[in-house]
Amino acid sequence: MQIDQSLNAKPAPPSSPQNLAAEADRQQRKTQSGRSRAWKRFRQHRIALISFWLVALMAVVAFLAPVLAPTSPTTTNLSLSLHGPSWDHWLGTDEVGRDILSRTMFGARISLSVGLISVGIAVVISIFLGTISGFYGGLVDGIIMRFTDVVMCIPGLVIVLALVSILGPGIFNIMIAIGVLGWTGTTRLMRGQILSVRERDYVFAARALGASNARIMSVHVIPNCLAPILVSATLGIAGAILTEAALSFLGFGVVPPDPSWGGMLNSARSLTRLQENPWVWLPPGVMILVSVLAINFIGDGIQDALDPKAGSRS
Amino acid sequence: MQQYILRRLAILPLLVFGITLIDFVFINLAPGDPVTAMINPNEMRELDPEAVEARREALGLNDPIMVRYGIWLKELAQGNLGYSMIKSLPVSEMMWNGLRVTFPLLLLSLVLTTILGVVLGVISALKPHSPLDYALTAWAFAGVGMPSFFFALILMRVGAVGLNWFPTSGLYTPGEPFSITDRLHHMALPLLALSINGFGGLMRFTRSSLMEVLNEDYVVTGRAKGLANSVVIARHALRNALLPVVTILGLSIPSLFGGAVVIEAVFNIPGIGLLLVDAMKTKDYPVIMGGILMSGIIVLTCNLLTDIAYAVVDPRIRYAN
Repeated sequence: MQIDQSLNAKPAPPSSPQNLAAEADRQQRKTQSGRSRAWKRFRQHRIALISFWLVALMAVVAFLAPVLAPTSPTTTNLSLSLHGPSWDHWLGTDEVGRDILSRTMFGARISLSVGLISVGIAVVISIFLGTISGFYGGLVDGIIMRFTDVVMCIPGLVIVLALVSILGPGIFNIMIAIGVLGWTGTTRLMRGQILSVRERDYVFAARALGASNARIMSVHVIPNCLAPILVSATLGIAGAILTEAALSFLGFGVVPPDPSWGGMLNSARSLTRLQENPWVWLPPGVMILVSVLAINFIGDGIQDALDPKAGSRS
Repeated sequence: MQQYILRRLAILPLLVFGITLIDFVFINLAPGDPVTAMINPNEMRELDPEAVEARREALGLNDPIMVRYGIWLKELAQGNLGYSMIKSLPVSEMMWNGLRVTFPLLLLSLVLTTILGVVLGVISALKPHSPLDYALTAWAFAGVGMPSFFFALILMRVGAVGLNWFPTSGLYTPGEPFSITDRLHHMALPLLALSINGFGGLMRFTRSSLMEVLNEDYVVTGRAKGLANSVVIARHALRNALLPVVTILGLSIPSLFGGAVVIEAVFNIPGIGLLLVDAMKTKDYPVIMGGILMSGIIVLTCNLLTDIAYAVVDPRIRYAN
């Protein structure tokens, strides 16, 4: 969408707001082609494309986990305690005989849903605060930005831990904690976007035509600010997955016996488990690494696709 | 310069005030109050409700929230962070002891991150698109995506349990007198684990920043007048390429602190992070409160130092004001 603007930013007679408004409308319609062009560039980013299919596969496995998983992730069987990988249990079993493969598959559900929902919450807050801050400026802007500065001073993991310890553990509280506290960076980004977009000619044109603030914001300004937000949100999903894993690893996250990758890694804090039973903790660890990497690559790919000028960064 | 630093200092009280406000509101979200938290729930039922109420009144808990905040701030200004409800020690003392452990860890990790990131980034930038560059870039990406606690477990498995080169936990060998080598020996694995996330980003940044600078006119001039390649790189290119590194390092402090919380828990290092995790497990609110405040102030201090350092190394900022 951004590309379209820069391509179409040809000097139109400023005296004819109607022309400009029509131009803005045309731009809006043309985003379709902009989108397909961006998708084309994204496909040229090979690692990003592989990552995209990888994450898509993970999402399918996560969604179909109840069908695909060989056994229930929570059924215990003490006679199978800590068996190594075998034909029956491809990735072995944990201390109470639960199948590691099934638990890893179900763990993807938790990681992906926490990532998506918490970032969803954060993005909604960011768009709201960033828009108000950028559009009204002045005192409102000052208050929101100073508040953002203050929240940014407290290390994210510390404040999320504190909030979860107050709310209590559990997947919904984690989503809320990560979402409610993860908006700072994106809010600043959104504010910057608004500040630059609201000076565009088509915004002046819309105002000259008598459009209300609400209409200008929702129709002309916000949609044209969202490209960098998409990149930031994608990277945010990776961050949220890491945070959830860290929380569950420390014992503040998803409540056992529900399978979460961080929680599964927790069992490796026992030295015998760490040494003797690598199959218990390696799969969830590798899955966290792979999913975070893949999502980061997708974010990079989207950024390059939306902003070809920055594409040469390597 | 002075003016610049003064301006930065001027907003400092505002930010500290903001942190205390968030901290206070946060803890007031918690269910229960210090009185009920101090009483064993089994005894609570037999206790006279009036006595509990009297205790509440005596502690000032029935005052409006703004009054309580004022009282808390006044105590805070005098260095009183309250007492731990579990260990009955002054929170300020616990924080201080934790800080003495965590601060060297953070500092050394920053140094390690910087050295690794800058050196590998320079190597990468000088031979772009070579196999070495690709290998280093892949390594940097893996570093950014690696959960530090997973890396810590792998390090522990390989370096401590497998090869038996390093201790698995703690900060010193019990019973031995303090020595730097013993300390560093214990800190080696935690430091590596803590630095894994930071160095990758820094390396990629150094690489792209240096590659950009290498095309600048003054670098071409340097080469044209016959300066040795090493001089051009070290004295002209790198100096400019590394200016923003200061900012990157400054921005990484909050996540580094978050990493320290997890790593301290993995390696059982009695720093501020482990203190916080333990306090959150036992719902020791005065300690949680103190911990949030301390972590905020640490980040604030580091941000300020970063800004000042930036002004020191970059004359353009110094004279712009």
